[in-house]
Amino acid sequence: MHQTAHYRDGVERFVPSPSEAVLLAALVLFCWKLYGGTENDAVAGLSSVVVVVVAWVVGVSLRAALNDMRWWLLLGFLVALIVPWLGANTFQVGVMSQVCVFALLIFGLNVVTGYTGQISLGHGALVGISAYIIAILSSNYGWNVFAAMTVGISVTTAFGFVLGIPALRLAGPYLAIATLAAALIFPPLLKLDTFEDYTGGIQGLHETRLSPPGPIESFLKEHAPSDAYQNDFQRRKFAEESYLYYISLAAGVVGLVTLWNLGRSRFGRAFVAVRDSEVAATSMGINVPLYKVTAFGISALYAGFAGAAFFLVIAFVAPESFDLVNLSINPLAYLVIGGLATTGGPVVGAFGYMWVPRVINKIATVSGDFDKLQGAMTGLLLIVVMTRLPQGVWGGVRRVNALSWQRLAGDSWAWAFQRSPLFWAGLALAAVVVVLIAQFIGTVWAVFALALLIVAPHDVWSGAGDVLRRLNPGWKRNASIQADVT
Amino acid sequence: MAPMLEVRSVRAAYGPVVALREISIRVPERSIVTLLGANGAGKSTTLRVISGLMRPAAGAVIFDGLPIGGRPADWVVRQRIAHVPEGRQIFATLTVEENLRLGAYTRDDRAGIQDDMTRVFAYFPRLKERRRQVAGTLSGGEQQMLAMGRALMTRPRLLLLDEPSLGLAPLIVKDIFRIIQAVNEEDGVTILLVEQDARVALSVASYGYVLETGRVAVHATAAELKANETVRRSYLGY
Amino acid sequence: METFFAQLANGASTGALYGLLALALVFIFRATDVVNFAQGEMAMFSTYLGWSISRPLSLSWIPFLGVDRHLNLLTWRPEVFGLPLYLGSENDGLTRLGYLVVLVVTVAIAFVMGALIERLLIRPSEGKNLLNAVIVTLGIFAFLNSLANFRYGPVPQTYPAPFRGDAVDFGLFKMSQHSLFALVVAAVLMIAVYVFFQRTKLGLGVRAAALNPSASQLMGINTGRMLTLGWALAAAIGCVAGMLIAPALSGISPNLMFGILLYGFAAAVLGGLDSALGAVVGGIAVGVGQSMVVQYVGSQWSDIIAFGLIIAILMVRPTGLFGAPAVKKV
Repeated sequence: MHQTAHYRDGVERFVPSPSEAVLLAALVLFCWKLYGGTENDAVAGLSSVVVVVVAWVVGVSLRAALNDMRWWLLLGFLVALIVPWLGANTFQVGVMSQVCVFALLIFGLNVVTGYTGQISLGHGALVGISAYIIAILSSNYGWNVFAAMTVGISVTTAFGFVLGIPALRLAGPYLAIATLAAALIFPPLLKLDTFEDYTGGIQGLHETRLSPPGPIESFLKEHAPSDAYQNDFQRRKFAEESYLYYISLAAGVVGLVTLWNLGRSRFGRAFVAVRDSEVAATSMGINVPLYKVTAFGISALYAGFAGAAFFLVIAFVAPESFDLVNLSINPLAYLVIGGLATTGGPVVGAFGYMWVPRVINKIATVSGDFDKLQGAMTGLLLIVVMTRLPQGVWGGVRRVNALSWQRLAGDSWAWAFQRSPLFWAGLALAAVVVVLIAQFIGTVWAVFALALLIVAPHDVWSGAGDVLRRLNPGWKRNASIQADVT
Repeated sequence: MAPMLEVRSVRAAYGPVVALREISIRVPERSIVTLLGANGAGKSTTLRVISGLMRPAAGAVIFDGLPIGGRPADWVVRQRIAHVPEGRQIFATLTVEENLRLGAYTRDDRAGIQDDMTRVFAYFPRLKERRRQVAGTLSGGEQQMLAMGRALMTRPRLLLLDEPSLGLAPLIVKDIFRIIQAVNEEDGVTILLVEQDARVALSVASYGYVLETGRVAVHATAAELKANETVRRSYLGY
Repeated sequence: METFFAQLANGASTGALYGLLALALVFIFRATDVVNFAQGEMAMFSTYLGWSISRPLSLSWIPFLGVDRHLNLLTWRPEVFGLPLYLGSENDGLTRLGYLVVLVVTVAIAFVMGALIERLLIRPSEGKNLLNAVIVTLGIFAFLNSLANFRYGPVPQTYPAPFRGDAVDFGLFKMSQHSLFALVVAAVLMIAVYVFFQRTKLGLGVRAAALNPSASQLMGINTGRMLTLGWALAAAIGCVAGMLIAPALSGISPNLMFGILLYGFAAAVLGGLDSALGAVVGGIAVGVGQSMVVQYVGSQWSDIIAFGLIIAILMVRPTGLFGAPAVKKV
């Protein structure tokens, strides 16, 4: 799975690889924040340098071991454990709980879309079915929440298996649209008068949130960070949010570990074989329909868990919670952005799904000009990631990690030298145009122009170069073309 | 006299995998030249470089004095070089006639296209019977005929054929090679032929190159290759 | 019975609009195998462009014309030697010539926009994974939607219909002139798309490029140009759809198109994603079905039945009513 690094000798051993450098920078930032409260900046700076150097020397000696992804998972898990103390308020803790909830959903999508290549736009409905069954059983019939969850998840999984059977007949885009139709039917069904007694119609169903058992509550209250949570009410809220966070984290971790094992198991390889070529898979003795249906079932199991966690964390279900874009399309988009058919990709995707809109909202509210452009920024992000990192963020990280600094630096120099002076002239012209737009038309449009220039594929650039070259035949393209002019 | 096609020390790679180390080939006008060799020797890659499906990493491809290496495939076709690729690559959901009309995509002379269509149907009467049929339903031999017919519709001066005998019954192979010879002799089309079956290939070709791991191992006239016991045994395997 | 026919006519004319959008989807699908989620927003955005050029245009930037000249294309009445060049006029001053000029200019802009989108955004994401391009269309969807909100605001703007006279009476039912016009345009475009793909060399090239890019290159087809052309033409068709949908509904607004796009998907899938005839027939079927359900079952059932029917039909015919059966590639 993990790209084992180039083992270096002598002093070079102490040069970090690109991704290690990112980690080190994060560590520096962390130390800086940690010591930021002290009055003496020099001491703070020095001690953080010492910490980082020590960490790095230890890291180099353990590098071979550290290249094993399990260490990173463990590190991530440890950080995840202290998340309630890292957040500034209960809202952020709540968002982190939702990261875990939607991670489960995205894991499920990864099984069906990433591994077996069946595009599903209907997983929002599966999450909704699970959440609604639990809500109805617990609020209308007074069931115990965990009993209701068992039923909800089982029914959803069974439903997923059943759904997988008709899916066998549909190829690619037809399956996508059929599942999209399923996702579209779900909210209006909930709103129907016939079912209103059970589903609560448009109003939906409320449930009191699960509160932590006594000892856990008092422990959390006692240890709540004192600067952020001052009075008893805030501390109780902190205990409540953190408790739910730990429950969803537990679910998320179990989901991640099972997904990881699934990806490496016989099952996972069979799924990938089915995706790549059904004919070849059949000839290897894989029962293709069985595996495709199973993939749907497993992903429904994840979706069922996501629905249960959704109900626990949010304690409220309404038809509008399960709308197409939010619960069916966006998770899929963020899965692809994170990286299909990987273990890390869905995690990155779940973080992106919850945090990107919030960060963009934060940026957008800085200036009134940008406020209505949140969607545009999100859209640009999707486009840039997909055009620049076709394997998703996770794939991109892996690729960069496999390169050494020398390769990176060498590549970019080679890239720069291979361009003709015309290229640089064009780039300068583009920069002037952008500045002019900013000056005379508006900053926003300049940002768009810049974004377009960035996402433009390089062959558009060289295409423009071709036009110029025809006007001025003296210019040569680059080494590989010069070769055949000999 | 300069040959019609000259491949000069071409190198090419699929990402990190080097396919051609150094290949130099000369194809005189109106001849049939064959490239022989084992799987992975670089025969198909050579054709792909000539037809522009692949960019050479170094070296030159000269066609009639014109450097064509590294130019896009759709431009190379317009220089009247046709390539019948590995695995035939017909348009499976289009009809036989549509496939042939795509062959004439670069041309605008209606009368000429009609003439060529009749000529192709004369070579391959089976295609005429099935002109309205969807190409994916043809048999393997018929698909090979269609792929060749489609290439002939571009009215090529140079025809690159990649393993026309692959997976076909001996009788059909014989048929196809008879047509290859006819195309060469009657229409004056130069042919560069890649074949696994050295015996059949050398029966029509006048000159042969034997490729081994991306290099030309031996080249000689077909008669010499056939006569040389060592070459026959170690490279051609019969 | 009268309401039945009225609903039938009503549904058919809305359905024709769905069909137009579905036609654009089919076009892109045939050319590039991509399901384009941004189709509705592209149509919406180009309709807005049409709307802005049909505002009075300031001509003061043209030298030697005088300072205070404005041109309103929709009421433009050019005359040559006293002969009016415009065709008929409606009561509020709109001229068909003006409408036509605006339509042609907008469609041309949409054509270029579609080509640019394909070239700059879709092309670099194409490759092994089809989903990447689909995600990019989602990105374009979000981008254009928010840009329209930013530039034009959420309030719907009225956009004129070219034919606004009295409804035509067919005895059993009446149909507004605009609805009839939409039906005619849908039918004409459907035939045009069919002829383009089945009867022209260029259409054959587009089909071949989608089927097998490398073999198409060997035929001398510039496959990149075919993809760009496919997107450009689809954007143009979508633009016509948008300009007909806006007057039929409450005008244009940034969120107008998403709902219609979903019905457009339904229509395209119902007819088969690769069939032009199927797209329009599917659109009309969806429209008629929808208005029947609203009339006789209840409006809250409309989406349930419409999309439920899609699923049911796909179960029986996995590639839609008119779609070619899938060919398994080995």
